[in-house]
Amino acid sequence: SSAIETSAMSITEYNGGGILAMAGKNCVAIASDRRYGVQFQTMATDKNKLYKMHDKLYIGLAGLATDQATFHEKLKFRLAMYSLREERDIKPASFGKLVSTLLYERRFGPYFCEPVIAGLDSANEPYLFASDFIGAPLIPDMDSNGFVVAGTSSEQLFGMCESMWRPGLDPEELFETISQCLLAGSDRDCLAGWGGTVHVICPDKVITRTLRGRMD
Amino acid sequence: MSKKIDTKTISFCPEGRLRQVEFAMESIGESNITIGIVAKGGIVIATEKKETKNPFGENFNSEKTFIIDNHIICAASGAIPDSQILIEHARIQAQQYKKIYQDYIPVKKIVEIICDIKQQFTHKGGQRPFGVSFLVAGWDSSNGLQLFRTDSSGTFSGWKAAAIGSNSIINQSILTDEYKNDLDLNQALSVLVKILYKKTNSLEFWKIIDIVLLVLDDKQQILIRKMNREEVNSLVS
Repeated sequence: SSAIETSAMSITEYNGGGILAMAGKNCVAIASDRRYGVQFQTMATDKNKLYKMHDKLYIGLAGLATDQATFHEKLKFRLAMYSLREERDIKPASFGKLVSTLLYERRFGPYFCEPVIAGLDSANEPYLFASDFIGAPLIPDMDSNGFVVAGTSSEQLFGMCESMWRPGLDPEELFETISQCLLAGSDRDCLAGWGGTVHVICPDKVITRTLRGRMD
Repeated sequence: MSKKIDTKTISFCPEGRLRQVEFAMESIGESNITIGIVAKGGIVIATEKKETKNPFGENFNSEKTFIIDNHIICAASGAIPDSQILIEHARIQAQQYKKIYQDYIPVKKIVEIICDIKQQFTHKGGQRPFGVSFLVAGWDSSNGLQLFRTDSSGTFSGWKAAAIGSNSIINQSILTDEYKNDLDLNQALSVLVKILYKKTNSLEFWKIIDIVLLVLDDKQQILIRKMNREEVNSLVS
């Protein structure tokens, strides 16, 4: 059988994926697809791209898989040192700034990963953050567009979120909305898909669900 | 060379001893008592603290007890500012190990890291040794529950029950009498109380003692917690 030739794909499209986060009323949700591929070949369909930093803070990393893994370990290191020294969990806003700073430290030899952060601050107000791979932050206005996206399917996800998101969603509505946006968005991207993972972060608990979409 | 106090830390005295290291141990022998006991299912460490009102409230790392990583705790006797430097270094090393190996650092390795630094200050540079002794308690998958004791020279050894700080020789012999191989945590706590309570006269035991537990549950999950006011007082009432 003929092997797939290597194509000149951008390094950020090498593994593929789609991540999005949305804000609701005193809750946030973060979702990602589950594909792990090498260019056009799918290697695994259960890849985890969402990482828990603490009970009210999750980060999703899109982009090159090896950089996702390494950058995540760097963040785990910094977070552990932070909580040992400060004796408390890091605030989402401080964590967003930390991520930005760590990415810019590698301005001229960057990590090819794009972070998406979803968390609840101490007043249980939602916090969302996204950045490019060298740390330029995007903190959306919660009243008009409380969502952030990243990955190869970011354009599709932007379109879905723009039409489906509205302010003031409760946890169940937020789950439905984010799930539909993720599945529809990654359906139109050959490098993302194979289901999804969703975490809905509420003040007292985190609801985690796995989605089954078009498995292709 | 003068036969009086040797001011250079990096020289042996005529009798072949490192005087500065011994003076450091003298200073630890005047400081707070710290006792650690390995029991079935966990390790308990208790340390004396001065009776003060803490304006910031009671949090875990009060004064002399520290978490190094989620599976290692440690308590210090002696110059607490000296201990802060070593603890900070140990914490960073524990995270570096986790970053490279995705696994908890072995307890003995952390103790070696701390002791290597302590040894350097008895060897070169002309700086005084660290005037602090640690009891490091932790769990790893290779060797289970372990308790180590370190001193100013950089020596360390593993113990089932150890005492450092003032009256350590007397307290260590009490531990030798009282310790049995299958003590559970509650029995270990009563041994601790036997040694520490007679040092205090007040009924407000919690004000002058910090007790920290590292508990291993059936699912091999490690839980580190400091006993709160009611629990500490209930040990002596």
